[in-house]
Amino acid sequence: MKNTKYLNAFSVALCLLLCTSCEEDLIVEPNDALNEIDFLNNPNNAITLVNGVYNKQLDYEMYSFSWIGLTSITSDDADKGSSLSDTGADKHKMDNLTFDATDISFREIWQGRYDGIGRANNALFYLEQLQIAENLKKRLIAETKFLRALFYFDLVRCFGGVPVVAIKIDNNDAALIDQVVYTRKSKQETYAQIETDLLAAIQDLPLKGQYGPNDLGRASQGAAQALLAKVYLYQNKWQEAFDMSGMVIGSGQYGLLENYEDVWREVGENTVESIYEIQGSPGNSVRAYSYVQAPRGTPDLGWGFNTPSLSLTNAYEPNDSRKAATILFSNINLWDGFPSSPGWSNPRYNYKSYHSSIAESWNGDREVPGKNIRILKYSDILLIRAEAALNLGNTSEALDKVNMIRERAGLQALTGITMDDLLKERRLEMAMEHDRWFDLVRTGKAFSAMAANGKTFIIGRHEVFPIPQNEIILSGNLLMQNPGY
Amino acid sequence: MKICFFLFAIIVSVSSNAQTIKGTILNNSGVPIPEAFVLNTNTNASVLTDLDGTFTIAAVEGTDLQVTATNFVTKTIQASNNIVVFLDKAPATELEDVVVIGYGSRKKGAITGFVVQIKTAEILKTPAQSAIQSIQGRAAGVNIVTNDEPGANPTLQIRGLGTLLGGAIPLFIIDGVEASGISNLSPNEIETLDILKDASSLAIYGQKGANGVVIVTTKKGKIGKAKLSYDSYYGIKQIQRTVEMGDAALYAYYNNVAIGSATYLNPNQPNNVNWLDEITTLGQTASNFISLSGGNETAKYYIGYTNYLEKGILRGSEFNRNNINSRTEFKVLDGRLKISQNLNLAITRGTQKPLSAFTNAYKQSPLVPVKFENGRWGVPLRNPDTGLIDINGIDRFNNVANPAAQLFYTNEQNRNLSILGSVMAELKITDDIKFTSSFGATYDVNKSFSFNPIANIFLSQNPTSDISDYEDTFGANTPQYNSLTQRRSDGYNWNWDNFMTYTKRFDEHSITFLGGMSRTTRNISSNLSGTRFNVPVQSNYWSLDLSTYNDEFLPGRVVQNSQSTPIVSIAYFARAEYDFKGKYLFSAVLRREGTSTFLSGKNWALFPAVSAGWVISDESFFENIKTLDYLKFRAGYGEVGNGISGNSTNNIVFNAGANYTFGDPAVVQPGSVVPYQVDPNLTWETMREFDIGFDFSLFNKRLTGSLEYYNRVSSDIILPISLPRVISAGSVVVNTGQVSNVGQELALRWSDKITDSFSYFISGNFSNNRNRLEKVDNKFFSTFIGGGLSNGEFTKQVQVGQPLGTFYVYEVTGFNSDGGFTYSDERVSAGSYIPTYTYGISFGGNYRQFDFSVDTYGVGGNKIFNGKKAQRFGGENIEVAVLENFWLPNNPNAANPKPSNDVPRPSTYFIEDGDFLRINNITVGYTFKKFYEKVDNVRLFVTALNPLLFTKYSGFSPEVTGAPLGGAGIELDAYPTNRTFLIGLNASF
Repeated sequence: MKNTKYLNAFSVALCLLLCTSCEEDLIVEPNDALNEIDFLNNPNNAITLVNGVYNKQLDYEMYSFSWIGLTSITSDDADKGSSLSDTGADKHKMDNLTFDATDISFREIWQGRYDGIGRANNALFYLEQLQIAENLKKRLIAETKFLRALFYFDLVRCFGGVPVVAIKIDNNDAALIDQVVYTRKSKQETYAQIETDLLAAIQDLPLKGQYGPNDLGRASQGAAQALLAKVYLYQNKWQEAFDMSGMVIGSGQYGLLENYEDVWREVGENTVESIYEIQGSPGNSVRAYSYVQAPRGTPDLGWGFNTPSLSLTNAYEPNDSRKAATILFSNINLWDGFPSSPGWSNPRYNYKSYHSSIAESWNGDREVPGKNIRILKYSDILLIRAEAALNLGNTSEALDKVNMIRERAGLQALTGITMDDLLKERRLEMAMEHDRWFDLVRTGKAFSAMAANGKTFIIGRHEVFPIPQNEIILSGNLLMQNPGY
Repeated sequence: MKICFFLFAIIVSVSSNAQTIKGTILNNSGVPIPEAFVLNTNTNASVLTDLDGTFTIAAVEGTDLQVTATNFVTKTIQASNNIVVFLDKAPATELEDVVVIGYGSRKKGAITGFVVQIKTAEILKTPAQSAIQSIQGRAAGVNIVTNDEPGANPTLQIRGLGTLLGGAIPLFIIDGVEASGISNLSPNEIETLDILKDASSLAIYGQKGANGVVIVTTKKGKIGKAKLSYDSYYGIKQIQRTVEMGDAALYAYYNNVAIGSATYLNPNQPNNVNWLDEITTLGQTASNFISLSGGNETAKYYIGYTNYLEKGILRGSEFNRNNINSRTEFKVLDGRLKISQNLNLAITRGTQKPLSAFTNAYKQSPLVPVKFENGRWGVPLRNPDTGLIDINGIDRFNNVANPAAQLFYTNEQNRNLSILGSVMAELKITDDIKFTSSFGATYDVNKSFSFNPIANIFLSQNPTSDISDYEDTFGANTPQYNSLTQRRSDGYNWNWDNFMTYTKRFDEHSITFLGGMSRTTRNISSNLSGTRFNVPVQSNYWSLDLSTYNDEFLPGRVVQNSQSTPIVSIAYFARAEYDFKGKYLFSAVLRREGTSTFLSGKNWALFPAVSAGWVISDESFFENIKTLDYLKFRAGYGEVGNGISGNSTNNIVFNAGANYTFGDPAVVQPGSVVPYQVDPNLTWETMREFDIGFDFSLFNKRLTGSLEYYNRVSSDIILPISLPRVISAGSVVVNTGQVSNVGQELALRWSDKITDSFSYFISGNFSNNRNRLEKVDNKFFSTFIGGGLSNGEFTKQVQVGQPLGTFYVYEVTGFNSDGGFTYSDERVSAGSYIPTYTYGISFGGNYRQFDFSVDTYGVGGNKIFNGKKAQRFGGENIEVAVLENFWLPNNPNAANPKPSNDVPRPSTYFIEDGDFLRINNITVGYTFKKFYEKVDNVRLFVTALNPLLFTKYSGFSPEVTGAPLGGAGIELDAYPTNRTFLIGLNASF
């Protein structure tokens, strides 16, 4: 029959067709990223998972423009800077204390921290499933908890009590989300979470000196203790702050550098005064931190925001070596020999943020030059110890620690000390290091300090920043706004 | 499925016959007539001709065969092998047009679904880079938003907005090849575009069909002598519409008020630059197309070549495309096996210039010169002492780039080779049963480079620095003078379709069964790019190996490579059609489809559809109604899906690259993150639609038209949604809720022939659509906000009961004492960017050898957020309309607020009506009949594209594309649309 051959041809085609269309074909392995099983089968990924949490610190929304706006431009240490007409979106409102809940800076700070907390929770979730040496696992968990505590500390200082999320949340668990993600805890409860994480981290973290050279820059026991001391200080837990800062001092891991000016330069990175820094190398560092603050004009090195205020400039005693290390005066050549330009728009810039393209690591990328951002340093711990001591009535300890710092600054030792002396010392030692606003609020001096600078600090409102409007909408109005906003 | 096929096969083998007569049915012009009914009057055996008009029937030579074809005069012939039969045309209607439906074709008069066909002449009437652009306004219910950027794609949306993903586009089937667009196809190559609009037609495409399907049929060789065609046009392009910007004095005035200082800027400035003029030029466009085609009984061929060239209105931007097409078809095994191939090669070269130059030209101050007197590029530097622009000034008063310098220093080129090809085999197993196997693939290879003269850009921004200043900033490091990035990427998609068609006519009953399967793999792609510094500046040396910069870099900055995850889908489908006397028509479709996009258990879906048609005018009771020539009623219901989620698979993945530096010496160590969480319940979205409609013709077929109504509900709409970042860093793709689209579509055409030398037509279509978010199923979708303005503000929020993409902004209630706006406490709904109605009107005629036509297109009921005005950071230029009438204490009732550099609240102030009516095309042509002996005819034409636009909208263009809940309808960047004037020629030999 003639048709048989067509039928045969057809049958062959049919076989081909059915053989190529197995339903298993619908299971496709990813080509662009690792899947869960393959990732968890490799124990080396435990470290990469935690490195991924550290990595969050480098994002623009973390410790860059918005952070500078909230923590520095608001304060009496710095002005908005840049050009008169350049608002930096909302930085003029930070400077004038006219900000509100829709300003982008608050959203960045909030979202960035919670992204970091999410990464930490995720890392803790998967670390449990990875087969690695118990000691390493403990250390990695401790490092992650340190980072989570750091992010919560930023949040509680900015916004007061916030939602405390300390577990990986199932995105389909609506009730849990309402209860945990959309419900603010009190300030005390938030601090309690931070303390819990730090106390656990202290248990399992090695001393700074116990890390091998390849791991320099990881969170150490000293870092967790120093952060906890600061956390106690912010809660006026004087005895705990006194003891905890004492642990850091007594660890033998830290000391003061000889030159204050070296602290924020590349030569000072991870040296004896350094307790915790956000690490960087050219091409892989906090995005635009230096660029945002570098001189604007000609040559145009950056955006020129966050310029040291006259109030700060005038606060230094004569001969205080910290003044020239903190403020980049535009009429003198820079420390690395870079010629100062008459074409720069402002007379002063933040010298601590300056990254030298001549004398420091440099690959031509101004946005990520490789600068380390100092989060915790030894002189901060000395001042915490001193403040706690003074509050506890231990004047000699306070005097001792403050004088260590004054001596390094080239100043005469004090013979007696008041709280105002101590806070002034803290202002100058920590100037442009993102603590000033919080210190003013914490010590109740914000109203008078702002008034002295012609700004109105509204008591009962400005102690905390507004919860970002977008987050309130996203929560279906479950997140409660701070009073006054 | 397997069993079904074998049963089919067994039936087939039993019903075979011995002696066969083959023949071809053609019309008087030699064009094949498909689906002609050939009846052996002795045996009552019958067959239908295939697409090429060929048939094979059992008959004794010399006996009578009766040939019947719709719209042709029935003819009786005597059987003889390889007979060619010419049929005389019955009075013409468009009902005889063959409309392409999924995996087959039908005469338009016989379909039950809602399909619009647009033919080559309609497409070529509006010359454009893409055929989609050409057909705007031609089809009811098909909303096309054009884009004038050289090489860019217009967007096409069918019957309102259901799917929410930004890239939701219809499925394109080009000669059996699944594709995501037709931008690589020369419009000259297209024979017909068939747009499947309703769910009953779309169901055969299952999870790919929810956004509609456009079936593209390209030109093929036809039986007859070799035919040569040549089409050509040349045109100039200019900006259709500009926005008047402040001049130097107004700019100074506005900014002084904003800053609160009368001396900040001196009103008497040395420069007054119109930046748009500085970056634009007269654009040009040219196209040349030549084709050769022909064929005989056993082989047909077609070769086409098109060159399309465009120089954009943005200085330096260019696009060049060469298309080479070859299509052949062979018949073997006594005509039982037909093998055809189709190859479309598109070679494009684009020189891009950044579109952001338009936005910079909008924002840059008129005070800034293009170049300072010493020849250095202009920079916004102000001398605080004089308030004048000054090369030595220290105050940089805005952050806007010099757009002229930006164009000068952008060196980018993109070359693309795109191959679209298919091979199809069609085997007639018996006279009634046909097996078709079609393999199609698209393959793209792309290479591009960008050369970035870093040092020169630094100098362009620092007009008093010289190259030694730049070198000095690098100290001991090697200065980077330039960087070169080279990119290579490729993409591959394929589909293999196999199906059987059984067609049988019993007396007045006609049935067609179709069954088959389809396998598709998309998104097989990879890219590789490398960057190095300091290559020689001459473009002939732009390869990475010629870099003289050897300092070490992070590996990820030197070279990047990635591969995408393929997306697989497998489908089985069947369709049954029944036709009684051509009067009662039924069709039913079933498709079962699985996709790799979703997790097992969530990845298979069943899509059914039914439809029916009734040609009322064929009923006996209709015989006495003279004015109404034809009336057909159609109705259908269908379900169709969307399986595209934006992610290739719905699994947790771990991304590398979240690296961090540790150690002394510092070493970058690897880090990884989970970029987004997944919802394991994610599944396809479903669109269900009910349609009803009439086709009619009246007054001796002078008035034809159709009226359609649809009600479609899209459920489980897929959208990536931002969750609180502590839950998921990136968006999570979820099924969000339900959207309805209800609309009517009316198409009318009046055409008449007054004398032999004068005929004319008027046609129009009108569609209205009511889009509404019916319900929200997902917690996170209920609080969704979108339409961000890149300054922290948003303009859209999801609201049940409102159209999608509704603007949700503060209402301006008045002025405060400082001249700023006061606002409502809560945001209000301020309309959607989605038009509630669209329309197109065309008219034209022929008088002797002249032809003339005009096409218009309009939309209404839509709102636009004029976001350019809202996006201020300080020191940008501003529109004259805002400058001229702003609040001052002595002008308290002004239209605009007092100048300010604050980020403004998104408010009703920025919302404008987006209604527009545009003349898309005016064409006048003249045809020389028998130009000379060897030339059939030559037509010369002149065309004006987009010559006129009527709108109240104050921005550049009322057509703003984007994601529905994202940037759609928000004009943030200034990109002017074009107006084009063309002259052209068509010739055939």
